[in-house]
Amino acid sequence: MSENISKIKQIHKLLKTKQISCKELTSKYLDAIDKYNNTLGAYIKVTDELALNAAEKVDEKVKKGSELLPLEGIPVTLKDNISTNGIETTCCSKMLENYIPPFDATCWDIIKSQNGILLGKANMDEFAMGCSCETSRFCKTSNPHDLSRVPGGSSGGCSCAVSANLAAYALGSDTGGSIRQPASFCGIVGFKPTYGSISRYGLLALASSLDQIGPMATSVEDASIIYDALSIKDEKDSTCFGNVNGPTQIHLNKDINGMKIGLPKQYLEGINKDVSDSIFKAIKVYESLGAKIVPLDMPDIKYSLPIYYILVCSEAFSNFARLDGIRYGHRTNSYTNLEEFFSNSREEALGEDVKRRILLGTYVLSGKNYEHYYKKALKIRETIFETFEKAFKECDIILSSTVPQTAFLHNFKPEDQMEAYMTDICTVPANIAGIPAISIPCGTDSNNLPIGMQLIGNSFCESKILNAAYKFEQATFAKNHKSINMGVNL
Amino acid sequence: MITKEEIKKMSTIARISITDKESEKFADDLNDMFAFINMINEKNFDGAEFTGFCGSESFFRQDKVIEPLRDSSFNGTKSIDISLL
Amino acid sequence: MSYEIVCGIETHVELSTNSKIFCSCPVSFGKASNTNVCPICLGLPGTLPHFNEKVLDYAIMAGLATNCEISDELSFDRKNYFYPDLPKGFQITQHHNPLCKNGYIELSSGKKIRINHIHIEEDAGKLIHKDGKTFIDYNRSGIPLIEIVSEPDISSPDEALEYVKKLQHLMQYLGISDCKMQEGSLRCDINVSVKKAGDKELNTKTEIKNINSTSFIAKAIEQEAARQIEVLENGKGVISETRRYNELTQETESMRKKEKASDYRYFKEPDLPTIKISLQKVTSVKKLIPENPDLKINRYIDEFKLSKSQAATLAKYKNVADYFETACENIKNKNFVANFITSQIFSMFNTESEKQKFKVHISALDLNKLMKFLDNKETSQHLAKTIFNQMIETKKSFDEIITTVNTSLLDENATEKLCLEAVEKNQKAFSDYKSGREKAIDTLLSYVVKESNGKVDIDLAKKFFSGYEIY
Repeated sequence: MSENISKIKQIHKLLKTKQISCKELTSKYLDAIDKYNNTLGAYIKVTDELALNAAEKVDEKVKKGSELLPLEGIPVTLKDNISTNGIETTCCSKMLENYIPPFDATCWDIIKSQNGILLGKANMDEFAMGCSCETSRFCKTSNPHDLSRVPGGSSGGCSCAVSANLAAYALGSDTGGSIRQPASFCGIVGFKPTYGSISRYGLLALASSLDQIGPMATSVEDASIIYDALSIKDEKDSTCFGNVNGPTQIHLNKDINGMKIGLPKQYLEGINKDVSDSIFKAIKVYESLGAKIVPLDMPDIKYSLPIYYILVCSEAFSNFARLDGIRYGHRTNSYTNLEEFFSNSREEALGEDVKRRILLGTYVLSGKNYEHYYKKALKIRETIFETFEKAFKECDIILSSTVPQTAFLHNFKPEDQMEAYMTDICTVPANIAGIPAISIPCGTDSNNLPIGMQLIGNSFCESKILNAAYKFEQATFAKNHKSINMGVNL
Repeated sequence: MITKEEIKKMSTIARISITDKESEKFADDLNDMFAFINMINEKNFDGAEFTGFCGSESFFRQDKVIEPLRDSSFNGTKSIDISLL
Repeated sequence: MSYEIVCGIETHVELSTNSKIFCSCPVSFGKASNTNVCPICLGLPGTLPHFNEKVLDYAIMAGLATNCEISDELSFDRKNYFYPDLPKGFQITQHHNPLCKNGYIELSSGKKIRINHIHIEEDAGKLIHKDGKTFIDYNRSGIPLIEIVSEPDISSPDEALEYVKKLQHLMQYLGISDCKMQEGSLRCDINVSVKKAGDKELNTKTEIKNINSTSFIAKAIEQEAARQIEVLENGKGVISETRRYNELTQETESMRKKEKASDYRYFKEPDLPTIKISLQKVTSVKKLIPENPDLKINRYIDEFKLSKSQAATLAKYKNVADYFETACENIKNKNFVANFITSQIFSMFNTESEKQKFKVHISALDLNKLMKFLDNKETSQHLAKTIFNQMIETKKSFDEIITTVNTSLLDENATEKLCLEAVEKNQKAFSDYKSGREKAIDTLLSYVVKESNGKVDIDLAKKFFSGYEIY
């Protein structure tokens, strides 16, 4: 169990050796969803017919003895802001409750062309704004490790499904930590690649210059397999380069003796004790593998957070302007003129958090605020980018906790708002700089809740962080892995 | 300090109708957020602005027509009084 | 109190690319509504723009042809506002870094109207008001536009008209737009203000929209200037607003208060990276730019010895000019070719539009062969016309027709014999001609042409007639 924990490889082995057919496997997952989803709330839509049809195709291929493609026959769930042709894509908002895209997101198109088995669409915070999955307008998702707690957000449905074995892997989206934080809370691997490595075509944009799609899985090797399959240059996305440095899988098991791991002192402040203990244990593991720890000082990193709000809210204000009820989406019944048509449709259908951020975005782009806030945010962004560039001259990767805490309770309202903002301090900077970052489980706290460790790499240096993550996982899996007795046991 | 009048103005621009009470609440919320955001004023940042990476001509599209799929583009569009011909 | 008009024009030109600016939908006029649409130009969630390279080429051509500096970077911005014809709730345009800057158009008076900049942007859909309802057609959404913004250098309605017509002609000449105001591929927004003669400071301006034809431009400016003068004379101030031109009343009417630039919340378009425009790109586009029509007219007059009006007629449309130049390659008497085209060929067309399309079944090369034949005196002008008509009717090539028609001219003896006969039969005409009435020779020439079935060499006959004396 400790060595080969790649679910994708396990499934492929089972299929090839005909221990199970793809249809049987898919049915197992669908039955598990049927059994557990009412409690867990991971899925807002289950696509059983689609899944079983795809499974049949895979079984035919296996019968013929053909080679299976990397993601073939693997049951997957997609966050509900990823467009799926003919299947509702709602972003868990009333605004798009009945919206059915007439096209596929590129990432889904790739999986579909490899006969991936789409089990359904996963719950999320409305329009990906949130860190608990609680702002979803349709259902509530709980943490499989403790049902009284949140799974994290905004890709909470994905992390819940993968953690509870209701999908072999998921695709989420990450704008400020929305893949990594829920992965940390649910004890799975969550990977945000370099900005521009996976196509955003078909991903409902929150902040176009920060959003990235990434895999959420139960092992680093799976994250690597999925990344290699999806990181293809897509001409439909003019910000997409694909994977410029070649496949990452071959680098996973490289010796990390001599690897320099940076430790910014800013990331060691204000962390929950259990989490920091776990991080220090992880550091010891890396040292035992031959890595060298390099202390770093990155004082400007804290400014990532205020500019994150400025940039996300500005871009969101603009990206959501198309949600006007004219061509699709919710339409009000009460209006007497055009302005009321727009305003009432949006007022009725958008949640409070979404409205708040749109108003903030409108404000920071208005008049003098544009220079004072938006342009300044761009200057600070450049500074953060340069800060990381400088840091990576002294180290190969950077280590931190993913979140300064573990999963909080449902309906938790922080007393200190400032403290609440600062919980994103570890994840946001990687989005600001557009660099890759992965969260992997590194222990549990005194409540037996998963703790996540984050590794950050330089642009397009996915191989390095996946390598470091893999080596850590192999060394500690037996100790760290907390299995959940739910879902499908392979 | 952001006033509720400013919030009302923003809500008009953003086409989101809000009540008086809501504009007060949003003003409070935004002021709380700006208490945090205004930390950017602690320091001068005089360098270049982040402009994203530079693309190349490989990102251009050839001027070729691909016939659109008319019907599926309008999947789920409801036609009531603002109807599409 | 004398007032001066200060006028600047923003011209929107629809580019005649095959596909739209950010998606591969076709760009075609007159299609059934909402048929040239796709998820991208409908602004469906999750779609991203993909820039059409031809738009950049055409925009650079427009910039070079109007003497602009071309930016070394291509970048876009979002202009955010809500309107039903704007699917994304923002327009992708260029606000901070327009593609071309600091150009000019020279009027016939020699005055240069400076061009502040030319930028690229996408068009919105079209609202159609019918039966008390409003319908939206998104066919136009995403069609590529260039906006040419002049400085307020225009000081009269006539200058404005000439400026627009010159721009229109230039864009058509470059082949980047058909610039038809009636079809909306050329749109003008005219900014007008007035000031007291000699004043340095400018007054508040208004913007006039909805001018659907060049014939309304001068009138609209005249009327608006007069209205503003009246307002000022009454001690009031001109309100900054948008006014629409009403063709029926020939007056401008208030539309809406103008929004300030900051209300559009411009910021850099994050879905389109900045792209360096290489020198090679500009150089290769430069090669595609045809000769400037004004220079062409001068060349036709100086080198080809055409009259001013002939030159202007042939140079007006680029395809006609190209046809003419191919047809008169290596021909000595280019004037004849010019006349041939403007009379024989143009007479086949009924409208200006047909003239512009210039659909002729005879290729320029084939006409060139016929003209060479004539130039080498292998046939007469009359016969040349006959051959031409046969080519039109039978759709056969010159080489095929020439074998079937006897084009040989009468030899010298036969010609002299016929001329003597003409004099004998038309003695009055001959004596008139000899008394000094030059036009009388036409009667004699008509006779020899008729009797010879056009096979007479006109120049030779003229020589004979002028040599004869009355006995």
